[in-house]
Amino acid sequence: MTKILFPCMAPRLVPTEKIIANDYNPNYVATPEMELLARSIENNGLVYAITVFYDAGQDIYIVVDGFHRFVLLRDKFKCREIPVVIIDKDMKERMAATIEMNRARGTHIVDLMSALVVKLIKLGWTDIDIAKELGMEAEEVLRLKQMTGLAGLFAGQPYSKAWERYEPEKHGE
Amino acid sequence: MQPGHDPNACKLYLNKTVIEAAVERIEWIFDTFETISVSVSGGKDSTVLFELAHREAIKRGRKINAFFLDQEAEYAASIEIIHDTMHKELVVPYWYQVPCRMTNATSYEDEWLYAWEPGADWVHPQVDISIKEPLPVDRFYRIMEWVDNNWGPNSCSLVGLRSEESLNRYGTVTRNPAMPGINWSSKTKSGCVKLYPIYDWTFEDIWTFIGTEKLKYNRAYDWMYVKGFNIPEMRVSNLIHEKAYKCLATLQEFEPETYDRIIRRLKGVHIAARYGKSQQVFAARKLPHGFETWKAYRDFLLDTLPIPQERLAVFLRRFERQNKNEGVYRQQVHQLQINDWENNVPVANVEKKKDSLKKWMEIL
Repeated sequence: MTKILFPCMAPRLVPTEKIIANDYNPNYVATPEMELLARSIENNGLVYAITVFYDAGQDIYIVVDGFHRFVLLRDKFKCREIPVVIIDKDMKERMAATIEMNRARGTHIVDLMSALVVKLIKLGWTDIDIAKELGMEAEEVLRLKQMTGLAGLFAGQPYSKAWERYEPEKHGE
Repeated sequence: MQPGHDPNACKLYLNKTVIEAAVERIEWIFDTFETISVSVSGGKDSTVLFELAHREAIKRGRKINAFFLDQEAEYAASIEIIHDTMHKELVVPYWYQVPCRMTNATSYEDEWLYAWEPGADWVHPQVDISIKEPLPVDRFYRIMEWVDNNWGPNSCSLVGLRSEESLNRYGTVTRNPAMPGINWSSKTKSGCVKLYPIYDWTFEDIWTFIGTEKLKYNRAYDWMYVKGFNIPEMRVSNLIHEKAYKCLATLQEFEPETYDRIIRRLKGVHIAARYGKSQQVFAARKLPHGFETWKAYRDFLLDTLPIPQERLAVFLRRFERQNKNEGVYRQQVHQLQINDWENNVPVANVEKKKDSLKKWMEIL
């Protein structure tokens, strides 16, 4: 069996100005998700430390995973110190770790997402609460809670007129 | 004068609704033909067409054939609809689960999806009522042809093709009607009559019928709706074809188990799902950094793609005959990205924009 290390058990607080971004991360977080991340940090605090590599020569910490959390803590929440977890890897391993940590995540199944929204409504949240807390647009909430399905929207509408292809040349042949 | 090419042809509106007209057309079909087969896919159009034909069959106490060519990489939601259809009263099931080779647009390594390949770990299981015996042909269009040729005398095959859905295709298929006066028909080379009784329905009509009559329909449409898909553009088809790489991007959110089975079964699917929404990897809408022109990018791909020499030769011969401009080069890049050596997504020789309306005006 591979021996699993627990670097997460040894987080430490380091001065914010000693932490820098890496220069290779292709991950991009859109504005609504950035706002959701900020809200999550406000509501729950920071529950995962930032994963970094320590460059002893320059005495700096380079972000491996958690760049967007780091940016929020530094720029929005103005933290002077930030908790980090250090991994000691070479450059290629760090690059690989960044991608692994970004990619190894699931997707939300639409049906279950819809069920979750309905449960939240039953627990007393309004559409607006849900939109705000889950980082959704009002329309997304509306679509998720609509239990009638697509066909329900069209039921009872009038039908359009039938038509035939009419060819003047052929007429009177 | 070929009807489809008549520049003076136009739409003549009738004093009835599409539903009234479709019912009349289907009554005429039952009066005229002995064997009636409906081609179903699990999609919305064939759901409506089948329902209309089935109602008439019940009314007359006559049997109808339901035909489905199962391509293995199908939504579980589609299979559920097909299962219901096949088990209805008076329906004779023609559910083909036979070896069928299709090109895999998502990979250079696995060129084929060999549906129902013996011994493979299939995406969904074979059902008890299906036809499993291999046919004399194993390519998709050949199988369709073979099935059409084998319905027997005085038979017809009903297809849920709508002119709104595919303007060019409808105009083309009905250019030579199978019977005088029935310009919603066509005939295959071997003489099989194909009929399109809902050709004039709009997508709103389709959904109005499904909603009003409370028909059971493919759940994939509801998922697409929740995800904010544009309603007129919602389509349900098999999951591995030239245009389906876009569906793969959402399959994981709709049917995670189907998704898992498909990525185990076929190379390239996971990549297609990841980049299906990107402007570059499969779609050729944005030129990558590092290339000045589409021609340069095309030539680079031709030099570096991991495909066999004989496939490369096919691309080179085809590109040689085509116009030399950036619009054409861009489309050639797309063909290379989806490994389309079979020319399933042909290159239009000139960049065309807003051309389909003009073409439709010509057809009608």
